[in-house]
Amino acid sequence: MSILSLLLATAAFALLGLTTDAHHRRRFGKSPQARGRRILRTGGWLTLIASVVPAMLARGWIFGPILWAGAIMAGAGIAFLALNFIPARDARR
Amino acid sequence: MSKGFRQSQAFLHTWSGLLLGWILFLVFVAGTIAFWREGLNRWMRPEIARVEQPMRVLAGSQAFLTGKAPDAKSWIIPVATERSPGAQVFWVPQPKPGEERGRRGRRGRGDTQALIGADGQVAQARETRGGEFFYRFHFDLHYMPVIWARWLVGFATMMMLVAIVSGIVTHKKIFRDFFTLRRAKGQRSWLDGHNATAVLALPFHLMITYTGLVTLMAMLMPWAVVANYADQKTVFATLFPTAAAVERTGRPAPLVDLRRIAADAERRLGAPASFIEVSDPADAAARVSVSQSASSMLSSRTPRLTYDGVTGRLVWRSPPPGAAAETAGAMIGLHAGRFAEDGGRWLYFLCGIAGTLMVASGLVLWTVKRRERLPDPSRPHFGFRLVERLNVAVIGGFPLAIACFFWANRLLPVTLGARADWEIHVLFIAWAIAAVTAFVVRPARVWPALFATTGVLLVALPVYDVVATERGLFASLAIGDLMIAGIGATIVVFGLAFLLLARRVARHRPAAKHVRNPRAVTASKVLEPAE
Amino acid sequence: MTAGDAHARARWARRGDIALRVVAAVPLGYATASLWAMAIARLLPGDRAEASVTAALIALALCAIAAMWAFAARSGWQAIWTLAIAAGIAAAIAWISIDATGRL
Repeated sequence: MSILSLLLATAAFALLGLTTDAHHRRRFGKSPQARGRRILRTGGWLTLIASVVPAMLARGWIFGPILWAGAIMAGAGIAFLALNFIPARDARR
Repeated sequence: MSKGFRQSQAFLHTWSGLLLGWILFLVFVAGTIAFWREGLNRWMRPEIARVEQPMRVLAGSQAFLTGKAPDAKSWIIPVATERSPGAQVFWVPQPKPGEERGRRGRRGRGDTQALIGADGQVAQARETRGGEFFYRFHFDLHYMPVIWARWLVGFATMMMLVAIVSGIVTHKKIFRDFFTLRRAKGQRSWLDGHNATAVLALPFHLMITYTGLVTLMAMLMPWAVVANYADQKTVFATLFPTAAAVERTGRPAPLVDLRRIAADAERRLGAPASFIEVSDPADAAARVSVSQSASSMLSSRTPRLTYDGVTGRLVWRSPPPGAAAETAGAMIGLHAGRFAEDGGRWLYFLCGIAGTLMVASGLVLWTVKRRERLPDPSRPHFGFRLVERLNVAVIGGFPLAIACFFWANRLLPVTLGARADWEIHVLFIAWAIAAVTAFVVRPARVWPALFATTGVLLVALPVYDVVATERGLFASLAIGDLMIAGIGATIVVFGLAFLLLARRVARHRPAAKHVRNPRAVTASKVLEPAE
Repeated sequence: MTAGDAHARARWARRGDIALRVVAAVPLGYATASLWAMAIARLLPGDRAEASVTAALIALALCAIAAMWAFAARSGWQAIWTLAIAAGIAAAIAWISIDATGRL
């Protein structure tokens, strides 16, 4: 359950990160369009909210939010590292 | 949000972050290390064995205190755990007739405390403050009255809170910028690093800063109590209830076996006990109070049970605290993180490191930004020079001082008088030398020298442990002592990190500056968001 | 007055403005937050210890907010008089309440 929360949080931040110009271009080869950006952003926020549930299930009402805070920080860090340091398939910047 | 508002908050962010930034760096470094204070209490006493049977330590503590201070006013016995070096017991002697009610004063009085080791005997260990030094330092500092230190740290913490919140509101595209990392671009890279460490652990930074203020709330904001109470004692009795005090009878009576009471208390509480306080131990009116361990719940204000010291009967149970008191307790508990085991503790530690890097990168960013605007880079104004040198002295010097502190712990002779104090003197002497160097020699040379020396000292420590102590990395792993092994491994990692940092700094060549339009540079005072 | 004089005057005016804001933020801001701590502690119903703790927790945040306002206000003087009025209101509330029902 805690792992699930972490995975969802990581995915959420990856999606949110892909809404930014530089990363979208790196991974998809073109600048994000309005529609694509909206989908990524909505998806990102929904996934982030979803990550609360497994955290509460794992640890209850008091420690659940604390676990979730930890999950989103860790998830943001992993997403940051992945987006910035995993080389894009296309060498073009 | 208007541009004027954002600009004003950018200005506030810079100055509330900078003016006491060096204090905040010290607090973050010491506080982050203090998350491992129990482990360090053990690591800095390599002679002592791991606690396997807490009840044996408790029995030994009682036996020791019965022999050493049978007529004391009170005994305080922490319940040992496998993470602690034993039980650091202390006692408060009876006040002499005519003397004012014993000032508890500094708990660290050498003549009224002792460490009871795993075997129930007084531990034969080198005298040291251990990890407790870092814990205390991060709000009491050193060499000054604690009230001054707490006001200074409290004030700096409030400036930190202001810096964090103003940093958030001033930042137009905070999430977008979080994901951006531009490398090797001078000022922009420093800004990105500062943003990354700040935003990544933002929930932690907000929490630790505000809850830090809450731990000092009684001192910083007593007015709410003053408004409702003419007498401090009444509110203390409500917020920190204790069983009614009993008069000493003067009739001697043997104290019940504390292990029995501890076992009963843990059964009733449904959780481990942490502190046992015995008042008037040899008397018929003896009382034994047992507090629940703070590691078993979120709030730092844990339930307490009081027993009759002669019969072992339960006489009082602490009432459940009100919602506000519980909230404040939970906030203090969040700050201390005692509820967090292993994984959670590592998360706290990593977030603390992020916070330290955030403060350090902010301090450096200030000089990097302003260096580009200096009219004459070879003769900067006084403020710039002061900040630059303080950065070197504190960010470069303090970690070196800590490395020297650890070495002093290893090398100072065991028979040295006031040995614990001397370990700390070594820390400050090393720091003073580093600071003087920072002010006398060019920063470009001192930065790598300090980092490299720190790296070498840290990497060499676990090597020394393997060679000269029984608690080396491999020996500890062999007996499954992950805490000690973990500390050794972490020190090596930090040592290597400092060496890499030293190399990076030594090789740094400032990029050829393209001359920016000077009018454009002075006009923009806003923290530039990422492009 | 020469252009140089005008420039110097503007610089000192700016420094004066910042100085006022610092005064607004630190001594005045702390005083305002503390007085509101007292007012809130009096106004909250229920157990007195609980009210005091709640008020103190809120007041810590108010300190930070006062500092932010001190720099967001249109001018240093506006920062000072707005905070002073806020402080005065809180002082009045606390005074009247303590006068009426006393303290424990």
